[in-house]
Amino acid sequence: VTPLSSYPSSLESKLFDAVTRADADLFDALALEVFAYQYAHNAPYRRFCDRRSVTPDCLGHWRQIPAVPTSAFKVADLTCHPGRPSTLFLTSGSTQGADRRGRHLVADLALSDTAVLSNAQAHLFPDLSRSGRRILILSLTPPPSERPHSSLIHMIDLLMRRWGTSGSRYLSASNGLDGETLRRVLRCAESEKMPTALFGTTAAFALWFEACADLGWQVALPAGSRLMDTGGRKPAEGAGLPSSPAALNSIDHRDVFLSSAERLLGLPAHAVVNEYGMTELGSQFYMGTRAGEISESSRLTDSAACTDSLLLPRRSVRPPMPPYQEPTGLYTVPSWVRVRLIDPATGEDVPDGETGLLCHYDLANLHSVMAVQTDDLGVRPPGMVGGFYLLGRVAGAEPRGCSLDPSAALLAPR
Amino acid sequence: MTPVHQLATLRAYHLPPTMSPRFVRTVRHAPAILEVVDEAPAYYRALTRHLRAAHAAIAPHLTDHHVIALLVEAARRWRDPDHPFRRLALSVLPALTGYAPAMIEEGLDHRLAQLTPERLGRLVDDTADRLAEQGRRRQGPPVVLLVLAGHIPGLVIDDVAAMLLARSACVIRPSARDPVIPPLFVRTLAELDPRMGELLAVTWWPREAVAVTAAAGGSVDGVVASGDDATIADLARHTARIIGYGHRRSVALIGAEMLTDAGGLADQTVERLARDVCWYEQQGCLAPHLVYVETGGGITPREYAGRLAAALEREAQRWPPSAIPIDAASAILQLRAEIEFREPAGAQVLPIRTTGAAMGGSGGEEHLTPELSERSVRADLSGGTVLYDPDPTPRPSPGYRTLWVKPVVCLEQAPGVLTPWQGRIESFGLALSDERRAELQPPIDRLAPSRLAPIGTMQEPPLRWRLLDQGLLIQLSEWTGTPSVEHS
Repeated sequence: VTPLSSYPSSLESKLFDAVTRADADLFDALALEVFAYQYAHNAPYRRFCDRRSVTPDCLGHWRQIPAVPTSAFKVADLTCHPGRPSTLFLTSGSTQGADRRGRHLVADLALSDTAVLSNAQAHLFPDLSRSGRRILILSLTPPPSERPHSSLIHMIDLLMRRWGTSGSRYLSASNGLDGETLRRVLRCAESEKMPTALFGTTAAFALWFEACADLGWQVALPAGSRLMDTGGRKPAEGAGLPSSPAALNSIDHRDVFLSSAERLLGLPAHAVVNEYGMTELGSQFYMGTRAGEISESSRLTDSAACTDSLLLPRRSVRPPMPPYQEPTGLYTVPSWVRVRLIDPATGEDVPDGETGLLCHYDLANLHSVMAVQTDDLGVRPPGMVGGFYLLGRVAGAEPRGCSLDPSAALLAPR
Repeated sequence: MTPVHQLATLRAYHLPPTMSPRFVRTVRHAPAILEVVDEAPAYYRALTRHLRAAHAAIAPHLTDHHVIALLVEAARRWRDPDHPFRRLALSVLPALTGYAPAMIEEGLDHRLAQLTPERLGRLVDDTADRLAEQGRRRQGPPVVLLVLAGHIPGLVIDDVAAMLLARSACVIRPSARDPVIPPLFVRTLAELDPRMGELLAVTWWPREAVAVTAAAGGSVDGVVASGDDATIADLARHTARIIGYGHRRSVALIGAEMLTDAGGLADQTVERLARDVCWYEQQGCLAPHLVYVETGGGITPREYAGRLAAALEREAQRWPPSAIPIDAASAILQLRAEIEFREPAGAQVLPIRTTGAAMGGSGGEEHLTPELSERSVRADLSGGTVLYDPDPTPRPSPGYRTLWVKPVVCLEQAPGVLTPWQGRIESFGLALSDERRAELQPPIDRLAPSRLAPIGTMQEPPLRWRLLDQGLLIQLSEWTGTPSVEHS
């Protein structure tokens, strides 16, 4: 990794250390250092902080770091290196046109890529060692060449390069998903007992599940196979999503989705992992982490793999059931991230068990802004530390890219 | 006079005596416990049959003179500060709506003040003239279902007046925001003339009770509904005829000639617009979402925005703002950030209030100290937000005292810029000279607003707005003679 000259190498090495070692104790101090760095180098963010009279000198705790609402990414380049060639990730934002898309400029991908891989290792590939075990990865998205500004596809590409076998591939293009090839490859994986990982948006899977059900097609993927979907729930009245009741039901109800995955692909629920990510964040959150179960059932089990998984959530027991109907599942928070649930009218944390807006503090966002205020609703059960349930987006908020029109559901950048 | 504390349980319905419900239940709806009807769909079909029979027996014998006298007397009673129904309504509505008590009382009095013999008489005459042009007479269908939105407490009084003037019997479904005034006002009318209690029924049921909505909507001769577009679309599935007052918004226009400090004119428009913005937390269709301010006056649009922000803060003292729901607060937060980060392009958000109380101070810009270790930076959205934006493209406001201020070189630009909102603008608030107003009227009319009002009165429409300008009485009369379809 080549450090950028404008930030101290000591900070850089500490951040890499924090991400790779998953040392949660480092967060508090590093967050203040990252803030000082961003305050010094990110001019629009510095103005934002100055108007709130928040400077590195007077900051006592990471909770005081001003969080930038996601709308700011649509109108400002929030980067610490405005003149430097950077990777540009764009939100879809297509409800208000291309000019209203959020822009996340990342001057150096090294840290966020490391965060992606560390997190994925813990939640998606705990059974694959760093020393060479690989798996067939099939992505229901277009390739990076067709979606160069999609953070989701960048992530999938990273995972494919890190853990994918040579046969791994993307199965969507501008004309949509190649469902026939996907079915053929999966049939082959079944007969050759080749564990397979499927990646894609929740909506894309829902549509494909429906098509498979219509064809009466199903497969029994071998043990060690897995599926990662992302995009989650649609907005209540969201336009442009898959229109069939079956597909919508599958997007809306996790149990229906899991049932389809089991019936059509032979994947048990513990092999299906939902991911929640944002263009504006370098890190992701995984729901339904069943690392141990994947490991136990995998024919590729490497006993060393799980000893690497220092990133596994610290909870050892299932969290208490909340008094409300349990949403889709609990998302775990990487050790280099903190998530607050706030009342947007006051900026204060909501009490545990009450609905708040998710506000993320992500050290992997080193070169932009680490504190990002979303318009996603969440809740944290009483007594739970770190994790959260995702309740969807606030009414009236733009749907995230993964849940827009049918083609976008398959193709859009996140 | 009945003490309010003895009225913890409110009967949130009023039904003809022979249609007394067999089943009721209580619903906790702080600060009151509401007793509501809990009947099956068949009850609502029976209720419609009862109203239809009552209509046939009573309506032919009602005269305008009698209806007007009833409405005027009911209003007179309700304007008495000691009237028990008024006291009851005013005691619970602040908590149910979130609106400031003084605002609710002032608004209610304004609605009641519309019910004078002169105003009602003139309305009857003007309606007759309008209908005569169509070869029709004022006559609504026998039974109407009236679904209320409740954003403006007391607006039901206008709707009831319309129903009686149209000689229509009516099932009124109040909103959860205001389940109080509709049954109480109908009770007052029934006390004055028991026949009104046979023609008007008030009963609430949950939106999720689709079978009840289908029974009620399918058995009446038409539905008049206010609410969000989804609500109206849902209702339309259950009825052959619907008058829907869906999601619309209002716009203000300030001419350069009004932006002078001579005689305090500029500040007057500022204060008046602030009132329009605060009124009912911008929840109704008459609330301004944005204001176009013309350049070239004595003060700039940016100065105007600054003064408006200050005026909103002053109004917050008089009319304490309501709690902001999380979806609206999130939207405000996002808009504030968008504008703040566009400041280099000339945009500005006013005021910035993000430190203060949570930091232990009393407000203003205070510096954080490490000693206040884990307290977060506090936002305070309650006092209102002014979004100054040089881009003239219209943007809706999330409400709760949030207003776009957009400068325009020439106010005549505004109607053209607003074309994308054509048909979705309920009213224009104007601060213009008479001459400018006359010039602007044709392009404004092309945007099809139902009302033009002076700044400061945007949210206090006269009775004729609902009945004549929005066309409720006209449309009810247009239904007459067309066959109704009974939905199962």
